[in-house]
Amino acid sequence: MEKDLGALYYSRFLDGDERGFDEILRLYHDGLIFFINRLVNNYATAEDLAADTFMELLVHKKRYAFKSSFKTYLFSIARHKAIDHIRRESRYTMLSHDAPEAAELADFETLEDTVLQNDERRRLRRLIGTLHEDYATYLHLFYFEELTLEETAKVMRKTKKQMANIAYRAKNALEEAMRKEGMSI
Amino acid sequence: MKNEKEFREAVYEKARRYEQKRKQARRRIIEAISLCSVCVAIGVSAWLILPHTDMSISENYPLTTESADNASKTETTTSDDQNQYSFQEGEESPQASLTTVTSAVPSSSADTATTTDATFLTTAANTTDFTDFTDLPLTGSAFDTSFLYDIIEDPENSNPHYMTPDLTFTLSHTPATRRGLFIVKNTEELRELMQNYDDTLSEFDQRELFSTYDTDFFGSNALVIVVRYMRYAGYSVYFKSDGATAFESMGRELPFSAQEFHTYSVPIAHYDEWNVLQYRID
Repeated sequence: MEKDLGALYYSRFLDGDERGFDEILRLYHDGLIFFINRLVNNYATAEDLAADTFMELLVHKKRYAFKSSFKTYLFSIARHKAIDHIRRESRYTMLSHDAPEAAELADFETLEDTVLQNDERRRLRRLIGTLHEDYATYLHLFYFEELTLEETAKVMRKTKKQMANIAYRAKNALEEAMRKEGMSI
Repeated sequence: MKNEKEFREAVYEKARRYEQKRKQARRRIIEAISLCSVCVAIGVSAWLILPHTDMSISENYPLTTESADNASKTETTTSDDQNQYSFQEGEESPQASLTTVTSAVPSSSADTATTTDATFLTTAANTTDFTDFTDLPLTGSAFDTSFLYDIIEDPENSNPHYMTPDLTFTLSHTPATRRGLFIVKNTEELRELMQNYDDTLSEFDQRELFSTYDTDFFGSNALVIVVRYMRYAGYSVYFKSDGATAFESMGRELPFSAQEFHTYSVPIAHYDEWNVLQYRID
């Protein structure tokens, strides 16, 4: 399983095998940038923040205790970095229907193709972007990163109960949005 | 969009810069701590090396004969008012003790008067050794007044400042509670003495007294305490060293309702050099 691979590669890296880190980069690069971009709505910033996220793995090697899935750990760092960035920039971005800035459009679409892989998922992503921030984050992590409810709770720093509520409402909101779009649920 | 290799290099570059910043921050902290340690070390060394301020209220400085003329006269009652000392009524026993004391000239209070008498100064001192009563209990009847009366030479001498070779010991007959001259040599004796003044000496003043005259003080000093009744005119205590200097000293006055306490610090290093020559309390 993917999350097992992340922990495995990181363990190898901590033992001195730098290729382990390269594998981690390969495994999570696109999904991480995609996730961050949804929050900051800027590809270049998302890429930079993703680099910051991976950098944390290099400088704080003892922080990951191998208790949660590696992906959960990585995405929680990424979300934290994104929120910090948003606060610094004094703006809170909701992913909107608007396309990324023109200069980054090509890069973004490349990424989108890589992550989403098909039109249906692209439409889903756009619909998710119209929802409340927490709902969108949960749905993104759930659908595109395939994290469990417990794992998304850790990423979003919510309790299980809170996450369950968010998940329930998020799915309802998405269903409503899909219905409006004429998409099959 | 960076390719895989560029992104990897960007990540490692960020990590390198982060480590550099962390080292710099650590170095700054260590420098700050070192600087603080140096400052603390300098402060402590200075505190240890530099002489500390003498907290004793009393200063010991004998008046020289040259400065005697500059001394002001003491305010006293005439000898006509003087009578044989009679201790107060009641169970209170005389608690004065006279002994050889060293020079003691504490800081003067408002009504301090120092005086010397040329006649006196030229008179050869006939030092008299007295029993050291301070070893005896301050309460009770250990004090032998007859001893003092024996040495009173001329109680009717009109010159209150006239010094004789012998001890002149006169006390006003005016009743006064628990007045007298006391010499204490340690904190226990001081506390015993002060117990007799619990009702007149405020807690604050007692605390002040005990904190001033503590174990350290008694390590090298004895304390002479003169207790007099406030409303009466001055008093004088004359100390004279053997063939040298005479002076009167007045101690620090502790404000309280009925009585005045005057304290004098007496360095015990010179204890044997001095005699109480005149003890008069009005």
